[in-house]
Amino acid sequence: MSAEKPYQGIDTTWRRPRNGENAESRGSWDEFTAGARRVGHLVRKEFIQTVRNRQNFRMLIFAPIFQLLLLGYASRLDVQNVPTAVVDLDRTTMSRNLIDAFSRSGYFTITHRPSSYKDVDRLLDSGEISCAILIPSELERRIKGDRTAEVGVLIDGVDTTTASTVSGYAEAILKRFSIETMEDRIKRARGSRYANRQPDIQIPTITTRSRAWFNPNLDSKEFFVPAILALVLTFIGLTSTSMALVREKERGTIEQLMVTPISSFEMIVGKALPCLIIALVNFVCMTLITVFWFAPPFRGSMVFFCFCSLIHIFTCLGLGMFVSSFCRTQQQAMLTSFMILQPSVLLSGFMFPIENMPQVIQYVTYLNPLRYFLLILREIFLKGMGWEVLWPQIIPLAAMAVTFLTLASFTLKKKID
Amino acid sequence: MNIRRVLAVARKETFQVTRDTRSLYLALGIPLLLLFMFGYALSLDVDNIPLAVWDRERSPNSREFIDRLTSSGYFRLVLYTDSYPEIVKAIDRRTVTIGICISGTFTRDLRRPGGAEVQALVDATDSTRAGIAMSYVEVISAIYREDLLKNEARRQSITRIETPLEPRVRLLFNPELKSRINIVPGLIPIILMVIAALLTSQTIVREWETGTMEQVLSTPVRARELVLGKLIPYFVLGYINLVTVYLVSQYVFNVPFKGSLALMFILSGLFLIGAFALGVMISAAAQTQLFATQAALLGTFFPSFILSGFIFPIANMPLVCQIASYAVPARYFIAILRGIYLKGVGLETIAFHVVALGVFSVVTVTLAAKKLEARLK
Repeated sequence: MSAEKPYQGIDTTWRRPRNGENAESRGSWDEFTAGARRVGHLVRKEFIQTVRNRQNFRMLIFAPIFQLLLLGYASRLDVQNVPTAVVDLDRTTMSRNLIDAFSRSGYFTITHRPSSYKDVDRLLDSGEISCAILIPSELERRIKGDRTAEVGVLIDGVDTTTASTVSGYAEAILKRFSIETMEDRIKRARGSRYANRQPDIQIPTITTRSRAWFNPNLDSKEFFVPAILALVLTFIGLTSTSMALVREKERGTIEQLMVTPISSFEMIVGKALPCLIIALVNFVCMTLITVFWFAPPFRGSMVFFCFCSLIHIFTCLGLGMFVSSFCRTQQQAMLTSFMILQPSVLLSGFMFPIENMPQVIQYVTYLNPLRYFLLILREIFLKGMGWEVLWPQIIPLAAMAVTFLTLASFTLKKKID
Repeated sequence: MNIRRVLAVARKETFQVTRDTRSLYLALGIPLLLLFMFGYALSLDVDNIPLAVWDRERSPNSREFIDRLTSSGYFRLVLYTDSYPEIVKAIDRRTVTIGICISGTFTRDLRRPGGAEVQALVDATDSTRAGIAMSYVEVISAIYREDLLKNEARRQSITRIETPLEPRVRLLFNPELKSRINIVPGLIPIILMVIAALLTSQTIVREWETGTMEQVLSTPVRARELVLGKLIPYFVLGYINLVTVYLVSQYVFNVPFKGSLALMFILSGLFLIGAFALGVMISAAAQTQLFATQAALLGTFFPSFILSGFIFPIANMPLVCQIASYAVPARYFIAILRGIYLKGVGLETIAFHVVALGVFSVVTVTLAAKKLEARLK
């Protein structure tokens, strides 16, 4: 900024220190309170600007809530009631028992019973069913005649998660049926041979007892809901902050701000504070909805949870201000934050496991603040972990918060001065 | 409707789009970024599950059981330990997803009433993957049990013992269950919606906010011409993205394309018109760009991502969400694309979805023009 500006002489108590000059001539406390006052004015102006436009204000408060509800309800991967067609060419007690085993499992809902294999293709093509069970005409005869019968299971592989779950269940059900039949057969054969000598010899049996820790009902809601809180918080924090300063640039009102006695540092603080307050309001609303409405198990400490969230809010704010510092139009700011958000969400482990990613990408995820925050929230909610386990996640997150905030204030300061 | 005026608006809008090179690069870059992410980095495949084993017996039988788990390709043995707390610690530290405990009396228990029990401790934080892993363990142990039975039958010299039932599970359309094949076609609506949400939603509100709308209003251009003219450059941009996605998914990621290319491009046009009209509608209703952005993300991008069946299957959602999903055009478009792309179906199978998409486009274009007309007055 050039040396001569119209504000000289207007403000009698303060003058922007120029290069090589410092403000030590006045008391540092006076300097501080004056600065705080100026920041306060800017914050007030920002608030008036935000609140005056009802549309904006409502959006900033309700958009995250809507996103939270939408994501919270729709993010489900539990597989149940898979629409299934059964083609039973055998029509015997045995084939009916087999079909029963499928419908009793709760994973399959039999919606169609076509009479021939031909109709199955059409149903699968149109997506009306995701699974078809084909029972051959000689099922009972073959099994009773000690031969192998083949039961076909066709699964729509388009949705891979559902398909692998369904194929696992189908295979387990058929295997169980097969083993029970085989046991019966051995017992029968042996029974006729050793009928009087050894009435109850045991045949080899093995059972697996699985214990699902941290989420015993295998409810995908418990996995997703804490992560969604993290996601939406990042979303709103970044998008609203990144547009804050650009708006002034685009409308040209930034020059008017520059001619006021406010220093660049104070301007950054004044711009960031309203964003922080909005983010905090959002955070409180979303936490209440998550904890009381979706009510996933919350096994950790609330204070610790708030502490970690605050760090993350600062990270988002820093990142948003940084984006704001080098964008010229609001559209650019939005596209840039979108460009940052997309990979952040996808590489956070929200639904795509990080250990499935190629090694190089796994290293990249260490630069993603959301990765740490997501893990922290999941561990606090589901496992009740505290500082002693989570410090390796918290330290990088805090380091990023500091880095982004410093980076943002440096670039902004350079731009403004 | 005057074609010359439409083209004039289109020309002006094209200048505006191409002049802001950073936005243009981003609009072309975001789709590629998404495509590379989904094609290369992200996968939902459940394999190589880290496994820990605590084998207290160390007998041929128990070793055989562990062998069957590790040679299945689904599990990867990372920890072989002699203590329970080690398994618990490994699960806590997330180095292991599943821990198998085999008792010291495994072989003896096999022939006892009740049988031998293998305990599987599963970190179920990610419930879907945990469920799949658990069913793998169950199937593998069932196959083992079946083989034990066969041996037993042979030992007791029961002749002609065969497996009574053989499951023949076939995975159609995606036999190796690569999630990439499912996701890449589903990505096209998302990418087109990004353009709609991030670019067209700004186009009119920007004129208001920067004050250039008055200048446009002083020209003889009408609301409908304005909408149409403004859409043309974005329409071109949408098609550029579509072609890019198609080429990259074909030649870089080898996602099979089984259906008719012409059909895909025509139906994409239908979707684009509706999606962009939705963007314009938001733009006409908004007072500020901040509002337009948030509204566009909420109204177009989020539902397309979440309620369309792109990642989360619609059948799993609560009823309210399922009903809401009928209002999301991407739902129909994804069904169409997956049908054409992966199953190679023709128009007759997807007729319902095409009609729904057509209705959506007609409704949004009408509403957008009405809204803008009202605003201009």
